[in-house]
Order: sequence, then structure tokens, then C-alpha cells
Amino acid sequence: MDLQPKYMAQAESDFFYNGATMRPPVEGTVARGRLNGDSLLYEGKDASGAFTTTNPLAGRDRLAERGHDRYAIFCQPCHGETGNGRGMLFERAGVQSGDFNDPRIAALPDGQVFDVITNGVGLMAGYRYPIPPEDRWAIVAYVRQLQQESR
Amino acid sequence: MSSMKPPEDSASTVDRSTKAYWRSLDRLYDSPALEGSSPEGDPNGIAEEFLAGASERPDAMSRRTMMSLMGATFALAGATGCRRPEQVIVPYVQAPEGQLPGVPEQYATTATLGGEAYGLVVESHDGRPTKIEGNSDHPSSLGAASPWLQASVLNLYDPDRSRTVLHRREGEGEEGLAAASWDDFQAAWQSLAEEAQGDGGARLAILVDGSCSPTRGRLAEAVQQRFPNATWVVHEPVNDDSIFEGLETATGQALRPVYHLEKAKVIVTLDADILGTDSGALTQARGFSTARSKADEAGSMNRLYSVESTMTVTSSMADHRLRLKSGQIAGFAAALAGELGKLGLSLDLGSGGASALSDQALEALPVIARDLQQAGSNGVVIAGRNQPPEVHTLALAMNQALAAVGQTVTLHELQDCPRSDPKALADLVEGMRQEKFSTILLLGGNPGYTAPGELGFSDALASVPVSVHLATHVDETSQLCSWHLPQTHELESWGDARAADGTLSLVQPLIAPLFEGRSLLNTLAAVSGQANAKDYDLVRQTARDSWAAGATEGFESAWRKALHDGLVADSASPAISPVLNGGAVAAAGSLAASSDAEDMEVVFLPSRSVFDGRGTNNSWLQEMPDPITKITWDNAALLSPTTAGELGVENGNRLSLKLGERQVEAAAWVLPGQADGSVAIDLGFGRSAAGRVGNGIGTNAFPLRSAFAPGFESGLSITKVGGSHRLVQTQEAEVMPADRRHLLLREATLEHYRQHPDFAKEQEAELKLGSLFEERAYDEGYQWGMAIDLNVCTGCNACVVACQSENNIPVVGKDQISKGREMHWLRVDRYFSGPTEDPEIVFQPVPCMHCENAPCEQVCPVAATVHDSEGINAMIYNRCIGTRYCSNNCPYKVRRFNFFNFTKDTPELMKMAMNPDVTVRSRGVMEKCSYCIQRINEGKKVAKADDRTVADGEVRTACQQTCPTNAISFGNILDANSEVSRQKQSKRDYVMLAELNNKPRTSYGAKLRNPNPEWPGSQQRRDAETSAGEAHS
Repeated sequence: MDLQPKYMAQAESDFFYNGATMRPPVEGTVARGRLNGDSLLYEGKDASGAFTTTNPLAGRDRLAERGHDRYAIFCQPCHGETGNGRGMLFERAGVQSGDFNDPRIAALPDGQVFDVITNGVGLMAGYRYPIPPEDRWAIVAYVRQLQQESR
Repeated sequence: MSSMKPPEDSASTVDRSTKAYWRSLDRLYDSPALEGSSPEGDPNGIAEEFLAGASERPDAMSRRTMMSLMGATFALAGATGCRRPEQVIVPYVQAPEGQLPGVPEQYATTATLGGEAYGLVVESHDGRPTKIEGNSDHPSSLGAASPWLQASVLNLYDPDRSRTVLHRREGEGEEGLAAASWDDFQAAWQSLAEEAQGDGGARLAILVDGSCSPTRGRLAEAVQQRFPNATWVVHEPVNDDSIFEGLETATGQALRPVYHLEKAKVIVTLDADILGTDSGALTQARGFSTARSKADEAGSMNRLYSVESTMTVTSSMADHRLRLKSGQIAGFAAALAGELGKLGLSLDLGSGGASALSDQALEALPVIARDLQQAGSNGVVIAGRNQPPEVHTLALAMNQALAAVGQTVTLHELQDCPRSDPKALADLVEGMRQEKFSTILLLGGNPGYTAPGELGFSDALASVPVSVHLATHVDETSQLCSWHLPQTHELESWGDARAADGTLSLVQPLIAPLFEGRSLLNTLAAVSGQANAKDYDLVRQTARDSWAAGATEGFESAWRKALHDGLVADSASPAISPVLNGGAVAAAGSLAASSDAEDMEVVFLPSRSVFDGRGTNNSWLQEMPDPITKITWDNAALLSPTTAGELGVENGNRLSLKLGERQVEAAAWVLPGQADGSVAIDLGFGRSAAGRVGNGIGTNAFPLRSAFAPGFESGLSITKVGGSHRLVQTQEAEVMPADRRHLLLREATLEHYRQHPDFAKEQEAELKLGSLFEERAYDEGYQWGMAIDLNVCTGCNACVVACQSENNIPVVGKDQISKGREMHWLRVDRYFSGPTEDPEIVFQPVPCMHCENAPCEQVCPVAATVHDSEGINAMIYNRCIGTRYCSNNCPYKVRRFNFFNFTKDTPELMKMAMNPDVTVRSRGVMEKCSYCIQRINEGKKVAKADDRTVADGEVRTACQQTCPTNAISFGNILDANSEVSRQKQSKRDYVMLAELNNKPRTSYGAKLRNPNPEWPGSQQRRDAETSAGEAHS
């Protein structure tokens, strides 16, 4: 029973054209519990479609602390400990990432920062998959905290 | 055993716990068919426990030969066989947001069956659907699923599904179906359509199946607009048209009934399997059980009178059962209406119809009528789909007179639901024969197999030059056509569907089409001129135009919400108060009263497993025993013992059934409880092009069926043709010794229960139980237990198929089942009691008992089965060496052994149907019900992540979740507020074989029946049963 005739996650398949057992959900389907109807929370956009300027999780207890925790995992390698864009990637490979104190970046509304984390921009990939929406908002809160600290 | 005396029986009540139970006629009469079963030579009954041949391997290879052959293989293969195969990790390239590999998602969708739609929630592992459940928000399923719905996921992964478009090139005859593409078909259709449009489609015929869908209706109209002269036929072999016609005759409106049995105190069924195969069975079962289970709190129960020609799952719930031929039931209905009229209800039908009925029925009529009249608007009369329209008219009239319309039954507009017209089908076939058509499109269905035999559909089809069939398999119809188009399964297509009460729900795909199939909607759109319309866009268009048109939150939000919830909120249609046409009712009354049922009749029933043939290639359904006969992998002609005696027919005899010019051969089965002079046969078997599983199994009853009397017909003649057919049952193989049988099932009348509330546990009160081992106190953490309420279990076997789906239970086939090796972890035992002609029937689901003092754990030499701290008897597959001592020691015989590697040759496609969370067992390993330990662990994990304990109802076993009547409760028995604790606290709760001190965690709620004290002959019967019970102690 080491090798069982069933499809496990991340296993190979002899049937599908790309050899994977894992299939993407069909476009347009909605899973239970994934209605994600709140466009503010899930996309950072308010009712009119513009990026929101406030963090929807603003009042939450220890939001920035959670954000710090998540930032250290996902963001710090490129953006550095203080958010100046000179993390380990800069030290090793000389690639400058976004500096949070750059006036252009500092002027972005919260919703747009959320959008950048979700979908990426330029060389940066989107972190939609690894980071759940609430944690992304926590990171936004922490980014704001970093920006305040360095002023 | 002598210390257990049956309790004192009071004059007005009967204690069913001392009734003598018998499993089948062979058992009752100690038939020589069961070897070694004589009590004298075999006092412990050991020989009867193992049938002859059980230990013999199918082939005669000796161990030495096998070793030498294997040695040769090793020598030739070298050392390469010793390496582990290389496995690679294949992650998502573009991962879906928020989903983790291995953590399942759930999608709400809908399944259609005939004219009804059932809301489902399907569990999807990494983008592949693996388990179907009912959608608790949907009114047609209420969270439950029937055996067919549970097994339909396997139809998606059927390796015999058609994969490409097939086209028979001109002049190549039978072998000419060659692979083609959709583009080829589109091109061909283009030219055919242009040609057809010339005369408005006069030489075009289209046949569709009977599913109810607004988008389908819209597209059908578009097709009919494009081809106004085309012939349009709807064909659904098992349908409710008789009901619709009866209601329309009475009211002048197209209506359909929805029954609310939770409000019903008295229910009379006329040939209706309300808890089994009726369209509304899932909701009806739920409503019925809600009313039934009030016996403890309210001290009152509903009462069911079942008037039917064959045994059904509804029979097990019936408090009184009248055996009448299906042809006599119309007369009964007229007589019942007459009785109600005599009692003052406004039913003016005159008298009549009573003459053809038996004395028992005649005596029972006034009793039933009185009970109904007293129930008033809490009474209901339900007629089944097999009965002719006049019976439905009468039933509606009776319900109206009782003021039950609007209460126990509501009538709703028949929307989007096409009706099969047998005349249209007959005209179509005649037209085909006369070469009236140049093109015929068969979109869905399998008319080559399901069309009534007397029409000669298949032969007529040959006369049409171009025939196109859209189907999931290259079936009997496709083999006769010039084009075969692969159809997608419902789990891979977009669509919409309307339920009986008008609720609209959407069908969303769980996986992209596995093959090159397209849905019915795509094809209809192509026929109507929209060549490449996607079904997604079509359904959205319907939504935009209809239900989502005025949505306040915007179209997209309304659409997504409907997809998420599994239904469109507030789309149920209002109940209609009809005005009955008195003349029509009177006409129906006289038509019903004049029905003549002298001759032998044949009754056609949709199979409780494969339905009308759509499930024939589904191995789970073939393996599922028919609840009443317990026959697997077959169907039989069912006869009553009297009829069989008159004809000299025994079980397995081959019979020729002849009705006019039509004739089929079937194996006979003697069924206690079948009406005399009536032969019942299941539809859906005897297929020739179903696939590797279904071909050649059983008898095809469709050739015998007539176009205008699809439910039953009289005039059958039966002759024995010699030879016999082996019919395999699951029940005979495991035998409990005769003197213990009546202790497994506790049953009483409601009256007896009121007077002796402790009847279920009386026999254990005198036991002094001790144990050799130190007993452990299970008083911490979660302690899992299960309670099965026999009072509401209808024996439908949905739990069996659900368990098979959830736990990757292998299918073993007819031969192994004949040796008692079926692998179902959960079995539903059925017991007859009473006279063999007219017995009562009771069902008892038996999963693993998870005994605290488990006999199996004590004897395993390698500790492969151990008890965990939460009370679960755990099975460790890897440790098991296959001694089978545990199964030997289990008094309930719930353990299953993999005698062979049943999953060795699993087709690649079927591997996707397996639940990744459960081991797929190999040869030599014992398995049994695990209380769905994978679900328990998942529930505990989720609760722990949330820093809380598992809430009651959060972890549900597969059997519990699918049960239409909520007969099974499962949960933490240490939690006094949990549902399972409440059930176990009931006075009716008992455990099987308590005297063995196994302390099972699975307990049962004793069955209660609520007989009418005025029922004729009831005193006589009670006396007979009491004496039978005394003889047994």
C-alpha cells in the first residue's frame, strides 16, 4: 500500500495532458466559502472602483505586529528590514527593490499598496497565493508603520 | 438465554421484541439450498456460517507452482524490480488563490434526474470532484442524497465514456463509426440545417430527454423558431407525466405537487414509493421522519397506510399495508373517495369500484377513511407515478376535500418542465418508418434502449438517413446512429435546473470536461444557429434576462451568490389554490371504479439502484444490494409466494414473460409481500452497450413495456423455460443463529411503548455483566459514538453507497458476493416478520460497533486493531497480516477482508474517484467502518487551529450526512447536549448483543409502529404473533 491507485496532491498523472493530478478550478466557478463578495477586503477597491485610502482592518488588535511577522517572512528579503529596498537581494545581487520612503511610493493609497502585494508590479510577483487577504492588509499596516518610523 | 423471558404481554398491546424474525424464505423453511443447516447435526450452527466453497481460490494453482513461476519472473526481471519507482512532485504552475494542495474545496451544484433537480455540494480535491453530498439549503435535497446521486460521481470517471465525436461514413455498415471532430459535425450540421430550413424543418425530428431547465427551454424555443415544422418529442422513460395529467384534468392548470409530510398525521399511499424512488423522495423522507421521531417527546406518531403491489422501502415504514395489484388500486382509490364522501366530506362520486377488491381491503376501507377524516388537513393521499391519471385526479380531490391542499400538499406551477407525450413518440416512430424524416437529432436519453418495445424504435431509426445522438456513452442508440456526439457529465458542465417547488439552481462544473464532450445546452444552441455558444454564456444570458434582471446588488454579485449558495434565493413559486372541476373528478371516479384487474399483471419499477439504465455501468450501483430483495448485479421478476406456488416457480427459475406480441425472459424471485397475480420487474438492466460493467447483466424489461401503459399492464402470461439463473444476494451469507435473531431488532407498537417505556432494554435488566479485562473509563476528551434510529430508517442504502464513495471501498463482483465477500463496511440488514404472504419488513444498518471491550482487538496477534483514547476501534492496515481472527471473533460480522487485490487493475480514470484522504487497501488486509476517522481528524484539526473544541454536528460521518431521514446521529457522547447523546438517552435506545458485554458505541433506537386499533383482524394477528413469540423464548 505504498503506491495506491488514487490521485494524491502534487502527484503525477498519466491521464491529463500536463501530467498533473491537480486541476485548476474552472474559470467562473465559485467555491463554498469563497464568495469573496466584499471588494474592499479582497481587492482594496471601494464601491466606485477606486483604491481605498483606509485599511479595512484598521481597528484590529495588534495588526501591525502581525504585519511585521508576515513582512519578515515574505517581504524582507527584497525590501529590507527598514523598507528601504535594500534587503538581502541587494546585498547579494545588487537588485534595488521599492523604497517605501520614495515619495511616489509613499503617496500610494492603502488599497493600491494592497493591490501591489496581491498582483505584483514590475519585477515583483504577486503574493496572492501565499498570503491570505487579511494578512496582506496587516502587511499594509506594517508598511505604514515603517514609513512613519523613518520620518 | 433462559434467564431472558419475554415481558408480560398486556391484552391490548404487542411487544414486538419477542416476534420471530426470519431473513428470507430459504431461512424460514430450512431450505436444503443452504448446506449443513440442520440443527441436529450442527447444534452450534457453525457449518451454516461458512458457505461451501468460501475458502477455495477460484483457480487451482498450488503453492509450489506459484512459487516456481514467481521465481522465474524474478530471475528474468533482474534487480530492477527491487527499486522504488521514481516519483516527481507536480505542483500548480498557477495556483488558485487561498487553496492549499490536499485541502478539499466544496462547490454547490445541481443534479437532475428525470423531472426533478437536486441541490448538491460536491467536495473537490485539488480540482477533481470526489464526493457528493446534498445541499442542506436546497429544498429538494435538504442535505441528503440518494444512492443514485452518491454514485453519480463514478459516472463522471467511467472509463467507458465516449471520448470523441464519432461518425459513420456512408456505406461502411455496422463497423463504420470512426473518430471525427466537433468541427466536422458543425460543418455537416450547417449543410443539414440549411437544407432543413427550406421547408421549415418538416423533415427534421428532434428528441430530447425530460430535464427541467429554463435555459434549455429558451433554447428549445429558439430551435422551434428556426424550424417551425420540425417534430419535437420529449422522451423520459421514468416520468411523472401521469401525475401532471391527472392534476391538469382536475384543475385545468399545469401543476405539480410538493408534499410536506412533517405536517402529516395520516398518510395513505397508493402505489407510491414516497420514501424511495418518487421524485420528491428525499424531502418526503425528511418530512416523514420529522413527524415519526416525535414519538418520544410528544408521545404521538404519524400513521402510514401503504396500498401497493410490491414491497418498497416505504413498506418498512408502513403501519398498515394492503397488498393489491397495481391494476386494482384505481378501484381502491374510487372506493376510498366514496367512503370519504359517506363520512360527509364533499366528494360526490357515487359508489363503485369496491367489487374487485379483496375482503381485507373492503374491511379496511372505512377504517382508513375514518382515520383520514379525523386527521383532516393533516391527512394526505399520495398516488404514485405508475398509476393512471384518474387516480391522481381522485387523490387531489380527496386531498382537497380533507383541506390538505395548502397544508400537507402544496401545488406549484409546472415550470420549464417538458412532458413526455407517448403519442408523440409513437407518431415519431411511425414517421420514421414511413421515411418522413431525413434527419433526426436525439439529444440526451437512450431511446434505442428505453423506448417501449412495441414501437420498434431501433428498427425505425434505421430508416432515417442522418441520425445524431448526444450521449455520455456509445450506447444502444448511438450504435444505430450516423453521428455520435459525446456529452459532458453534469459535474463538468454549466447549466440550470428547476426543482419541484420552483426553486431555481445553477449547475457549475467542478472540472473541465475530461474528454471532448459538450453539454446539451451547447448542442441545442448549435442546432438553433449559435454554432460556438458556450454553455456558460448561455446560462448567464438566461440569468440576465430572467431571475437576475432586477438584482439590486448588480448582476455579477447576484450570479456569484447563486453559484455560491447553490440556489437562487426566493425563486420558489407560490402555492396555488386550485379550483377543482367537479365533472372531471366524477369522470375520473367512474373511470377508476370500472378498472378491471382480473388477469396477471406486470409492473415496471425504476430500479432502486440503476434507476432507468443510466446507472447500469456504475459498479457501485450494481454492487449495492436492492434494499428489498438484497439481490446484487441482477434483476429478477418478483412473484408472491402464492403465485409462485400456483405456477410451480422457485427462486432462480427462468421464466418467459409474454404480453401480447412482446416477450422477455427473466429469472424469478419469490418475494414475500408481493401482491398475488402481479409480477414486478426492475427497469434498467439487460443492456447490451452500457460498458464493461453493465453489459449483459439482468433482464431488459423495456421490450415488454407498452407506450401508453408504462406503469403496469395486465394480460401477462408466464411460462417456465427450464434452466435456472443464479441470483446472488448479500443477506444469506452472514447468518446469526436462529435463537438470537429476534434479539437484534427491538420493535413494539406505540401503545406498548407507552405502557412499557423500557421495553427495549427490559431483557438486559437481569444481566450480570463482567469482564476478564480491566475496563477503562472513557471519560475525557472526545468520545465518539453513534446512534441509529430504526424508527426512521427506510433502508434506502444511500448510506452504503456514500460510505463506498468516501472510503474507497472496492467492488468485488457477483462471484465474490456469492461467497459472502462483499466489501461494504456498512450493510443494511432487512428482516421480515409475520406471515410469509403478507409480512412486515424492518431495516437495520450495521456499521462497526466500535466496542469498548472489542472482541476483535483481543485476538489480533499483531495488534493491528487497537482502541484509541477517543473510543474508536482503529484498524492499522500496514500491520495486518491477514489471520482474519478478528473477523472470526466479531459477533456482528462487520469486518471485511481483502481476499484479493481488488484495486490492482483500477483504470486510470477511476483513480480520480478515490478519496485521497483514505488509504486504498491492498490484498490481505482487514478493513471495517472507521467512523470516518479521516473526517474526525479533519474536524479536530480545524477546531484546534481555531483554538476551540469540535462543535456538535461539525464532524459528520458519510453515512450520517447523506441519510435522507437523519436516522444516523454521530458525535461526542460525553457532551450531554449533542444529538447523539440525546438519541442515546431515549428510552428506546438499546445495543445489539448486550449480554456479550462488548459495550458497543453504536446503539439503536427501537422501531415503533403505530397501528390503528380498529384495523380489521388486528386482535387475531396480535394473538398469533404473541404465540409465535412465546414459542421462540
